[in-house]
Amino acid sequence: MGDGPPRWGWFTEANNTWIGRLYIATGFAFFLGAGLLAVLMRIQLARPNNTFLAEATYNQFFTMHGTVMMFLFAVPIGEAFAMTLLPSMTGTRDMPFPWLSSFGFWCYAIGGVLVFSSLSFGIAPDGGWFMYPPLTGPTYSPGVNTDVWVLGLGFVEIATLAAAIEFIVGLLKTRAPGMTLANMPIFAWYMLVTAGMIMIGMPAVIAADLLLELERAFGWPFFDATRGGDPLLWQHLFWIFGHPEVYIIFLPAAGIVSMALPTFACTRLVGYSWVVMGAVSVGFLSFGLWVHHMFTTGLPLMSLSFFSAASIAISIPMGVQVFAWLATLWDGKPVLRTPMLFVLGFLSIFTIGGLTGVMVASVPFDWQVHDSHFVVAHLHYVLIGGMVFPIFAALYYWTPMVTKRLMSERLGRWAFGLMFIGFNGAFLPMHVTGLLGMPRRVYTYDASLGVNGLNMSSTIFTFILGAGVLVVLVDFIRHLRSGPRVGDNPWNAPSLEWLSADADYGFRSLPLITSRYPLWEQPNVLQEAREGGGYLPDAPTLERESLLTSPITGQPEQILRLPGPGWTPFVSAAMTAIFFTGLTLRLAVISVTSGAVALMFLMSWMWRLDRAYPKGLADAGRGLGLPLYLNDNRSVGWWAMVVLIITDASLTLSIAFAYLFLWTAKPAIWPPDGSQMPGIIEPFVLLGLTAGAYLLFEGAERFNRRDRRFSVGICLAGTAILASVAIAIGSAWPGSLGINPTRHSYGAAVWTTPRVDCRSRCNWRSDGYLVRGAARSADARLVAMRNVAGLSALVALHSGRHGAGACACRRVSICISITSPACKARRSQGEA
Amino acid sequence: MYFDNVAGVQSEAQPGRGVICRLLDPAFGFFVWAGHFLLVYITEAVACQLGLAFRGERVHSGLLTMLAIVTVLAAAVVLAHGFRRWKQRGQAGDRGFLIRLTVGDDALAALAILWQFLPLFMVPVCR
Repeated sequence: MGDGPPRWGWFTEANNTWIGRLYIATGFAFFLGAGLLAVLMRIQLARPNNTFLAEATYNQFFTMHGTVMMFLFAVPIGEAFAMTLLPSMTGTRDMPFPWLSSFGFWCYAIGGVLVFSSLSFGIAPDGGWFMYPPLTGPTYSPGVNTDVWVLGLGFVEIATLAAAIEFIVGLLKTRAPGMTLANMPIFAWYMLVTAGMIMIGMPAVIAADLLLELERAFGWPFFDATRGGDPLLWQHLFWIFGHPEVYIIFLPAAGIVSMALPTFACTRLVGYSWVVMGAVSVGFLSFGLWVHHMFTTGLPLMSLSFFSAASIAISIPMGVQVFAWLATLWDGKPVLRTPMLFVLGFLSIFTIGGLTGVMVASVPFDWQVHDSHFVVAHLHYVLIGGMVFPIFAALYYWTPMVTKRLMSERLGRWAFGLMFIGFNGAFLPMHVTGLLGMPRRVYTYDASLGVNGLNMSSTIFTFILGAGVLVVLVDFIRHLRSGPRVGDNPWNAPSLEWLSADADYGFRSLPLITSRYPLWEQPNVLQEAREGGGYLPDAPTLERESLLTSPITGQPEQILRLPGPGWTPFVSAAMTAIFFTGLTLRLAVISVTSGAVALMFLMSWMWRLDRAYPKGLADAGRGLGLPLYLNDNRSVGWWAMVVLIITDASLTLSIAFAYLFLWTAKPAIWPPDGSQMPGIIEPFVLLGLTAGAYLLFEGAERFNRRDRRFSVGICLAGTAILASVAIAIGSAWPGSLGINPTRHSYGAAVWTTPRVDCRSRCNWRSDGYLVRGAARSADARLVAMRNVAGLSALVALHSGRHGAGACACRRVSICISITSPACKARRSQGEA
Repeated sequence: MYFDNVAGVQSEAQPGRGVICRLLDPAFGFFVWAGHFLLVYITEAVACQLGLAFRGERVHSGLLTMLAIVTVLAAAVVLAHGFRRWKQRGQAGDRGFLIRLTVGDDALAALAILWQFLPLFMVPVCR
């Protein structure tokens, strides 16, 4: 392993290669914790009417097991491997927003530990990992258990979105020179699709969290059927994210398999284009499946059938991928090393899970087995087969790249054997116990059910599965000291990451990539990377740098300057975590204090972004001169903001969906008695004010380009006045119509929809224009304080560090940046 | 431009113009699929709440016919897009890869759209 950062560098280091390693270690720690909960639950279920765990404890255990496995292990661990590997795999020094990755990681780690530790205090969530209301509403869950779940998920949302932004922008804009989309490593394709799915899907569950907390904290009845709400709204919003999440978990694992197979089969991946096509198809089709988790909720038959059809349709691209893997095995001469064993285990187990998936995609069959142990067996075959086995394959495969030592082949085979036998022995019988009627999430069962022997068998094999995991753990610890040392590429792999083995970052000098399998097909690539024969042989700015390239052909465009180590991401994340935890536990003093510190550090982060950049071109190596700053749609800031706008749009659509759903669910009482419909005058007044504010914004933008500061100020002041009047009138308006957010779901929906929409629009336009305009007219850094609350601000401002800030987003008309006289200099330089 | 002479690197045609459109072109079919899926799902939900399915056989048939026409149109648009790209096949390198990707994704998306015919003809509305 590289030397790693110095003592405090664990907290301050900010490059994706290092952060990815921390992510992997943390993810496995959560995996072990959640696995221990599973073992304890299986002990409880070993015998009928067992009293090993109390009912309430069991409820907390299965909720935490599912929550931790899904949100703190399964989703982050794929991102963790990607964060570690992608910079090297795509031939760059680092991806564009390492501070954002660091912030996301520390939010995840600290938030995850806080949530997991709730078990120790008896306040762990207990409503199941998908937390259906009304069970989790204020009536049936009056304690903080549900709030703890929302808190934990909030941190995961921050971390996951941060990683998604990093991957999308990084994979499109910081690949090696010449690495076209057609030559991109297949793992990078899978991660690109995964990140896109997070960008679209994650906001739905954010919206669900938001509505649940509004109901719990303020009594807005979105899910309360007695006041016009509908618990099914939660299920829709949760599964709009929750089902794609299955593929968000699976696709990185499929990418791992697609990388390891060619290495051990000693041949190229068969059907690369087909596999990419399959991944893209799965990414889209997975959004049409969410209702197949809701087949028993009484939705109209035709609606169910639409989703059933989509559920079956997705088996085509999934099948394409499986056949491509099998064809690769057929085409090559497979070498059965430990990673390959785990890949083969994945193929067999996941295929069984896929087949039972086709079974439960059939509506009548699902009615029979819903909420039974059959579904428990199915989902574990999909997730352990489809994700855990590939992750262990990845651990054995890529560990030598990081530590320069091999893990034991003998222990690896033992681990695989124990895990494979243990897994099948534990979960195969659950298909039968489920069909015999054993319900899931029930802490015990009666002996008369006739499943005693099968349950005891499952428990015994669970221990065998756990023993396999422990063997891996022992092997990993052992290999750090006594594992045999190996060279740079012990598996003779074809992909680029093996060239940067032992480095704490991606590449020193960036090689020109012209092949999909550069280590097999480009004899000079090693020399270019190691001996400075590629691009960026030095650091012309004496700072951390990487190369910005075009998204399709990998054409060099800019020398990207990257931030170095710093305390800001860690402290900001820690204080943010404590702030929200304090709010959840109603610890006002702690919450306010930590919130203030977080705000201070975030402000400090922003304050330092806007530095003057030297003019002219810098030497990028190989006789190429590139600018240090870009301010158009080639800049990473522009791309990050596009991703955020799509995320914001998805959030707004989720809230709009909530409104529409509640309306269609309760049309007879929508709107309820006592709520007046609006007249004609107020809507036109509001429309006029909004249109006026918009036009003034546009005017400010045009004056801004001509550097007419006074006019910009006038336009922005006018905008602020019109917008304030519109907000004041709009806020008072529903109340004057008798629309009360706590009386009926109609009022709650009416009050929520425009506010979320307004927040999004603020991010899209208002903040950007106001801040930019203020920046141009005066040194108004304090204006940027408004943005510190949101992740979107962090991304935008962080991107500003890399030269995309104040002037970057002209076409999209968003830009959250701050100020400085240097902006003008940058602008003229960039446009030159 | 300053990077025109980078040896060994394909030039990106029209840098900065329509890059997102070109990046998303392979997924065109699935955008249509998503729009069609939402349209038929929401139309059915709203029609049921408005009671259209119970206002006589003509209204009921009309609703189904409209959904069927929308389905055929959506599939036709996707197939036409795929066919247009198919005619551009044979190009080497990155362009050829993106065309193959587009045609394959369009074919799958058209299949997924046509798959929605089954519920329309086999399952009663609003039951």
